[in-house]
Amino acid sequence: MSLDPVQIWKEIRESGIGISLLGIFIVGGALINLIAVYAGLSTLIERKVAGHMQARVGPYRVGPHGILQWLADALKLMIKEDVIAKDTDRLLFRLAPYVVFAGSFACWVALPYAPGWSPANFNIGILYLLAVSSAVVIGILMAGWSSGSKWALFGAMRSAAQIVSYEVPVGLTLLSMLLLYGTLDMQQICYAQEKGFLWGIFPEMNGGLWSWGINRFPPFTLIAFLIYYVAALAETNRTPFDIPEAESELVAGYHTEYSGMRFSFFFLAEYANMFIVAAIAATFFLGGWNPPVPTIPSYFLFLLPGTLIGAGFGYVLKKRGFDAVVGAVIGSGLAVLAAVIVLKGGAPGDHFLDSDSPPIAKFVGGAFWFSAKIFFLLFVMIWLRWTLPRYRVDQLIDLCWKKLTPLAFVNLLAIGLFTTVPAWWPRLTEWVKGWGH
Amino acid sequence: MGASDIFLNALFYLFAVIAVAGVVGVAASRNIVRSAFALLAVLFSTAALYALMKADFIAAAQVLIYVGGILVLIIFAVMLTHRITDVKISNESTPGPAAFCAVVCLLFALVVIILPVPDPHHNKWDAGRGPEAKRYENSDYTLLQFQADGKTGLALGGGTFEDEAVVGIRADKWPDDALRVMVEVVPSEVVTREDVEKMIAAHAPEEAILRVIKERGSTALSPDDLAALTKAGASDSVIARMQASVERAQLSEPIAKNEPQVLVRISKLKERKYAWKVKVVGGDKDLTGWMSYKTDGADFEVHRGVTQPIAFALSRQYLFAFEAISVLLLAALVGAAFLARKEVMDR
Repeated sequence: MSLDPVQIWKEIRESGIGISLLGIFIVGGALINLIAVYAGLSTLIERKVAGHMQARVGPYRVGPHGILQWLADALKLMIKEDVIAKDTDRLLFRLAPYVVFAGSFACWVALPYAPGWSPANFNIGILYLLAVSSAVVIGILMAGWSSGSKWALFGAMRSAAQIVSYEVPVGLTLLSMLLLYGTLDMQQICYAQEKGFLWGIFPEMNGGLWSWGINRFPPFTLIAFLIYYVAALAETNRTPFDIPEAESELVAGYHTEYSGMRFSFFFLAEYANMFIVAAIAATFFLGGWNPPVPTIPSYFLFLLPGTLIGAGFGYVLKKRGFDAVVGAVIGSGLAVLAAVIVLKGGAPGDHFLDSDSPPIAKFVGGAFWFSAKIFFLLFVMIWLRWTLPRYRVDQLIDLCWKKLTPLAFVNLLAIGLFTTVPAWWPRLTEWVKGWGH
Repeated sequence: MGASDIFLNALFYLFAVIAVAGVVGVAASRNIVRSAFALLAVLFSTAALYALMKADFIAAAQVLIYVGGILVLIIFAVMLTHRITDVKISNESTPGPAAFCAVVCLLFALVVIILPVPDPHHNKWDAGRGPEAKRYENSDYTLLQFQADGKTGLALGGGTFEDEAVVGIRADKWPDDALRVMVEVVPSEVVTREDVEKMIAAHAPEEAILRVIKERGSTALSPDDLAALTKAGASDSVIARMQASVERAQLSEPIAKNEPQVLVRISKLKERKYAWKVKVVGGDKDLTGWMSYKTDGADFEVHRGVTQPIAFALSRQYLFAFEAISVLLLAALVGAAFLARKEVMDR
């Protein structure tokens, strides 16, 4: 090895490692901004949905219909004073928000956003996700202990106990689905849901909705989905399982003593975690980026955004005599036209998942369906939060260990049997015939 | 050493320093909760070291089990003890002689790890492979092993070499019916770079296809090959080595026509940098192209996710160190139990 700096610099330039490092930083920066914007928007959605469910309007002052409220909130959190109480363990107190945030941020790089589009594609995909997200528990315990406050400590203990307990049914349901897919790679799991039909009949058939994991072995896969969703709800400390931050008992749980930017890191991590569990549910049970209908021409994917943009134009131009419906029609027409022009490389009308369709169509189509499923699951989470009352601690632990875990075990056994017995069937019949003679 | 090596080495030292600092933190901290959190740094950086060894699975399992399970359990146990906010139990009470013994054992283990130990099973693969095989008996070759799945036609991999050269390929049917391919890579002191270049020049200007297993009975290079080699100016030693690798590549049992065959391709990437790839044709599925793997840097991409290199290293090269450390850990366990007992007695 030569230690000549000129030589080393030359080698670094030639090997292209600088470009790949730059790529890492660009992708990481883009993802962090994506998380920030997503978390901001989902707080807005949460408050708006809550408002309408409770027959009020929700945030309405900042921007039209209050749609800029999240920017104001973010600004407020950024300029707030960062208070550190006297009894805290300063090092751990400062470190904890980053540990929690890093735990959830590291998961975002391994999600299958579109066919072939993952920031980092691992062959151990789901194992990596489960492993890295365990940093969140440590961060929560760190925050609770270092705060020097009993509310924070109780909140942290409850939260950690809850997350660790509910990881058991989560792991078992994911394991039962892995029996079907036979791979840990998140992209491969999505590809496996492209084809197949109920109970494994017509394995080569592209059934759209019927090829998704949730419909593979009804009712067992459906049960697995429900167990996963309930357990994931508990893992993210959402209502009705939000006893770690039960306002009426514990002030705010493990982040009671945090303020300003450090508090917002916990906040971001919480919403990022919701996204991750919804993304895993969408990947494992709802087909990932697969559309619900077997074949959709590529350019139709531009219909919905086009309609929305057109509706926006129509709304703006309403006073000049245009109607929102006219705007929507014009917008969607323009969008389809643009899509046909953009997608000229592939024949228009082809399925966006075809191997020869252009990458932009793959990305737009895959990302659209993937995020649509995630946002539907997030909406259900919000819906449940404003509908159900909170569980007690003993009820929560009871639900996990006495109901969900045994059910998940039975389910695992059933899916295991139904996936292996058909393969053994010929051998079994032969054996029975031989035994008769 | 290429730039990517420098980068990987820098990462290795970074994580190694974090791991050691974490261990010091665990041992030296007066506060038991801080010790537990310092263990987090140790466990994460160990996982990072595994990832640098291309053992993704072990890295993930390490984080999943140790961070997600054991560390949470430790912190929980500490926090559930009474007066949790001011726990002052620490390792101050460790008796001096025990600490001294532990340090001596640790230093001994470190020395054992750092000193290279000759591998007793080094030449197992070459046993009974003819006179040519013995030629490499004392050379320091690396053995890369791949599993070729005849059913899916999926195989294998490749890599690049800068200071190394492929000298032998061997495919074997293992008792579990899997076809495994072994590729020998030796440092360029054994096969010089000029030899490799001649090998490549002998076959084609851009790439050379070394057909390792053709059909039944092809135990030697064909006359055409030999003529091409001589024409390109390959020395006798190069021809002998290629002959040896073809011989060594024979399956232990004769192969049927439909069984997978192993092909090796050596191609020139750029100056001083060659890529080699291995693939299987035949079997149930026929592959039309080479398996494509990213081959940047002196990096054997195929090792990603394979735990075998670590197992090989632990059970052969570092067997004694492994055993020594297990004894040390056992001693530490007994010591911990002893300390815990003493704590109760003091009250």
